[in-house]
Amino acid sequence: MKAFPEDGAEASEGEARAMNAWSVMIVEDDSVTRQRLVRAIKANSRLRLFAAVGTCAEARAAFRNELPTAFLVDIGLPDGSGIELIREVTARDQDVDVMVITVFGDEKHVLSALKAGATGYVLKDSALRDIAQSVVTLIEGGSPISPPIARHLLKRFRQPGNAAPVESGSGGLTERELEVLNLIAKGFSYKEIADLLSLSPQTMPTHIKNIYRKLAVHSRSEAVFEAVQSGLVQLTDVGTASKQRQPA
Amino acid sequence: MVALAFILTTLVIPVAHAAAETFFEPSQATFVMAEGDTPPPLEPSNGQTRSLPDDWNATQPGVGGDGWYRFTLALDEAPRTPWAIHLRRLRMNAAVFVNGGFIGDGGRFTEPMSRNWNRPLYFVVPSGLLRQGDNSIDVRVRDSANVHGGLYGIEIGPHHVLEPRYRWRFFLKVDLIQASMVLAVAMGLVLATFSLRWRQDTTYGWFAGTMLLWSANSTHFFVRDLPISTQAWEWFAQVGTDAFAVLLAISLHRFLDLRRPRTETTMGVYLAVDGLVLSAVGLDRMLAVANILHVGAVAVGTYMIGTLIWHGRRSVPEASSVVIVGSGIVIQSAFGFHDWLLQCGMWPQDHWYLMHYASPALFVMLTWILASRFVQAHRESEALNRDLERRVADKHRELDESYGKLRALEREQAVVRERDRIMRDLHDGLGGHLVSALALVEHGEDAGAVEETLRDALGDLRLVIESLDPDIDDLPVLLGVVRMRIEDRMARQGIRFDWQVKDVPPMSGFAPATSLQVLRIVQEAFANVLKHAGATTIRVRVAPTNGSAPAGVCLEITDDGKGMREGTKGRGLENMRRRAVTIGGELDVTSQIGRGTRVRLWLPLQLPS
Repeated sequence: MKAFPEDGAEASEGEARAMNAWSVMIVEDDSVTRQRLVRAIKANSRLRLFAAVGTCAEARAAFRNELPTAFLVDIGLPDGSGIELIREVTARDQDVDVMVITVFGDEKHVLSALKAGATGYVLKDSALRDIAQSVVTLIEGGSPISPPIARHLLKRFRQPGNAAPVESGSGGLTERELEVLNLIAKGFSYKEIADLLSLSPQTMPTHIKNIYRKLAVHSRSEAVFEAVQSGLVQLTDVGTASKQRQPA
Repeated sequence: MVALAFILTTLVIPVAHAAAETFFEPSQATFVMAEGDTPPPLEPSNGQTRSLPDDWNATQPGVGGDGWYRFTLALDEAPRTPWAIHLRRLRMNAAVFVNGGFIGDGGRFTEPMSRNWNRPLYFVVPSGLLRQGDNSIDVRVRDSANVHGGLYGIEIGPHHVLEPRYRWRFFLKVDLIQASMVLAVAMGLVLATFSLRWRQDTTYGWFAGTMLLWSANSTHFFVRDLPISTQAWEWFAQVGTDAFAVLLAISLHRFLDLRRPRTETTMGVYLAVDGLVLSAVGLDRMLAVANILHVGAVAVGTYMIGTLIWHGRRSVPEASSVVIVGSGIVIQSAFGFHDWLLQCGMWPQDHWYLMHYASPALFVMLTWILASRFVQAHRESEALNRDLERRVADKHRELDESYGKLRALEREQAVVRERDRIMRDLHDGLGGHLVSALALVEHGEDAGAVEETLRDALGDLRLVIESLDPDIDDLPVLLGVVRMRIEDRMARQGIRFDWQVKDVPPMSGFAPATSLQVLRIVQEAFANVLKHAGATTIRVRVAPTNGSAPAGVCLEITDDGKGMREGTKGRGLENMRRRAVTIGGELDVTSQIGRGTRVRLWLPLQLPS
């Protein structure tokens, strides 16, 4: 949900750098879309373009030495999966914001990206202004969400039969977070939720981002748990895991 | 068994012991035929000398009546201990006198006379009757002619010596037969019970009859005082033996499952002749005629043995049964044959009749038959059960297989139907939009119109994809999704949402097809408000409907715009109504000029899948 419509006038690169704009890298293989996204970033004074690439390899080369503040990633890349890229990036730096570009905003694409560490998503055909604004909102701490995603998260975090044991406090959602998700799933707006739960509407996006972070952590620990279960990974010391040699 | 052993030890040993002490066994007597109840004056001069055993058929054929035997006993001194007289074998009845004093008899001397032919008699001599010197002991015997009457053995001696001998003889001749009769009755009743409970198999009935007749025949050996005339009794005894042979043969037929109606009729005729002829003959000729008629019974016995051998050769699996049954019948027939010969006079008449001692063989035979039938029936029942279980298991497997195939077929069909549906939807929705956009471009229409068409196309595609999302499984989520996409446009027109979406009870059957229809209805309603209403607020309310018939959910979309003329029918509204009907719901639109519009959609909780 894009809550703060802002006026996005074209700013020059110099101005942007001067204002300490946030760096954004674009990874999108379709050149037309990529151009469009570049235009969107450049048009927003709070953002500057870090790099615009079309393959995973180019992306890795681009952020080998330095990571941008945010990514705009398309999942379907010619030489690999965007998901893998997202995982690599967030493993390197948890604070990097990754926004996934999706045509439909459907569960399959968004959720797998969120589990991999993405913290937001944007629809490919959104207005340029909205795209840039979403990136800004994301970096400022808020994530978008939709009712189906909220419903899916509710199912995930409420189900008792999860593979990995969820410890409350570290991996589970708070009562407040669950209530927020419940109301989002029913279509209530941030303002309405804020009124109903006596919260400030500005904090909503932050709540969502936290929830996404927990989802990513949860997925990661789930993956480790499953790997340990199936004997692929051995926990040697507390907190570290090493890869076992695969049985021949 | 224990009783038998006990009896043997108490009697045999004393007998063996007593053998050391002596008693008198006279072998000669003076004999005269005379009427009267008291001993006639009898001197060696007016009587004959008879040696024992004395068979009247031999010594006085054709003569019957009262016969007196006088024995003279010379004692050195009067006996100090009680003495007794033991008549080992006679025919009908006897009375004993010692020195003229009557000491006892074996029952009635008048018709019907007591029958002691198989019963030893024993009389204790009152003390003082026997004296030193000569003692005369008279034995009166009454018999008909030609019935092997007479006296066959007498023992006179100390009571303690003779009594064990008497007891032992009595046991063998009377007690055993009585026991055998009791067993035969019991066996007959058991078989009769079987035959009543299992009417399909007449074998049991025939064997029951055979055993009951057998036990009736046994009474011939120990019943002393007759309820009917001697002649009638003898008739039963002789005919009964033949009848027993015939019944046994018929039972054998049934046991071996042989159908021989002619043989059975012949045997029946033989019995009828047997009975008729013997009833026409007087008592004095009865035995002789019966002996001739008994040939039939002997023939039946031989026939039975022959049948068994023949049957045993032909059906080997039943060999053990045949052997057991055969042994029983062979022993029975052999003893019967012996008895017939004895009755014909082959041996002296104090030989024992054996036929009724053959009963243990019969019992064993019949028990074997019953047991083997039982085991066979049991085995058959088990085999049938196993067969049945196997067949049931087979049928289960068959059913499982067909169900499996059915389910697979249903799944395939479901997949095909779904593909069909999506195809149709894409064709109508997205396809239509793209074709329109193409047409606009071809006609060189402005980019704005094309853009709008393309956005609509994308919107419709999004709708279809959303309808397939498994997380959209009830009404509130669906409403949320539609709101989210239209929110910005609403906001730009200054329309705010009044969102009153509560929890609704779970709805079953919210399949993608249903989702799509509801999405389209809601989309249309929202789009109408956006495009035409000129409203400021759009209220969306969802609540369950209680009370009147089926349970459901009611969705109300109300706006405060300018409304429509009542009765306006637009294609859009018609489509909405049609869609509602497709998914089992109802839609109605109320509107008044200046009062806004209300679209109400009702859906049942159990949506048709």
